[in-house]
Amino acid sequence: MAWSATAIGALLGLGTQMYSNALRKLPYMRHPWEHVLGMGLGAVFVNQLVKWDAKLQVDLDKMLEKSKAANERRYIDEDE
Amino acid sequence: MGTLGRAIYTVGFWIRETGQAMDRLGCRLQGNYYFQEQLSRHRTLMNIFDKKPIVDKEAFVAPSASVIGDVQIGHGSSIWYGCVLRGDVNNISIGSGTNIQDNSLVHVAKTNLAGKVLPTIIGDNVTVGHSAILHGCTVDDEAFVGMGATLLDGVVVEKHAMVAAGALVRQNTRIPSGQVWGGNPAKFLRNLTKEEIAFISESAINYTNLARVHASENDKGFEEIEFEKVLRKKYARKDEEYDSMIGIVRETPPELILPDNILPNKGEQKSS
Repeated sequence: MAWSATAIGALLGLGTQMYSNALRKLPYMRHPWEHVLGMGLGAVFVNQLVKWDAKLQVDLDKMLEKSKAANERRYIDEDE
Repeated sequence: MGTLGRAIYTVGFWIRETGQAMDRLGCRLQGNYYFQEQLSRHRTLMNIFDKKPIVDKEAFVAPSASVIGDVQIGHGSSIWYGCVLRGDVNNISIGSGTNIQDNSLVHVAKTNLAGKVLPTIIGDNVTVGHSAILHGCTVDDEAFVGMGATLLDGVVVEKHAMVAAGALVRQNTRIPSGQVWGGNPAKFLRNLTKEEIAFISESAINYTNLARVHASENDKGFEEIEFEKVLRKKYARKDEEYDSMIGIVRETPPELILPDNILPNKGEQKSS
């Protein structure tokens, strides 16, 4: 999981850097060290995104759980 | 070299570029900005990926000439100042004892109307005059191309043939042996005389010798040149009559004697 996230992130970073060079009409690999930097940033970004997404899911489940409990309380209250 | 070679070449390019960037960073940190100085990046022999010029050890290539790509230069040939030999899309081969004089341009054709791919082949002991343009043509041994002549694609200049100065030879023309062609477009003018034919090979030999002198002069390092300058100043020729009046015999130091073997009998005059 973490492996594929890193790989996807690295590809994304590399692609972005190459796209940035292409937009400026430079050769794709102008300043090749920036591509390594881009790959690193992309990898960190995707890993963090995956982590944040997982956490968000957990939090959302908790909130849904809470609202479910509240709703149930309401139903029960109305029934009575 | 195939795709793998190209891949390695490209990766090498990235690594070198990174290295240069790190070097520049180091220079910036040290506070010296000499790397920003703009110098000409002219290289006399330049390769295009794996097509690199093959120049014989005995051949002279002037420092301001450009020999680019797939070019072969044979023994005793000379490429003079400001020449451009561009073998990027096809190959150029130059035989031995040939001289390509200053400002000439030799190129090759990749595509033309007939769809033929034409290398430029120049034979042995050929004289190509100043600012000639040879484009995708064949020049046989001991031919002569005058100054400012233009040879278009597919021209064949046979052995002992001559293209007059300023001529424009049209595509796919064959100039037969022993004839002079000139004008625009080039037409047959007359036949060559025996002396003229003999002169062509003599001219090639003269140029080979001249090239040797230039090669040795161009080989000198900065310090050697400065040393010679000092020597020249010291041994600057005084009035010979004055010298003989007060009985001075001056000897020229061996460093100052030019390797003057352009003409066969010139060396003997020096020693006297």
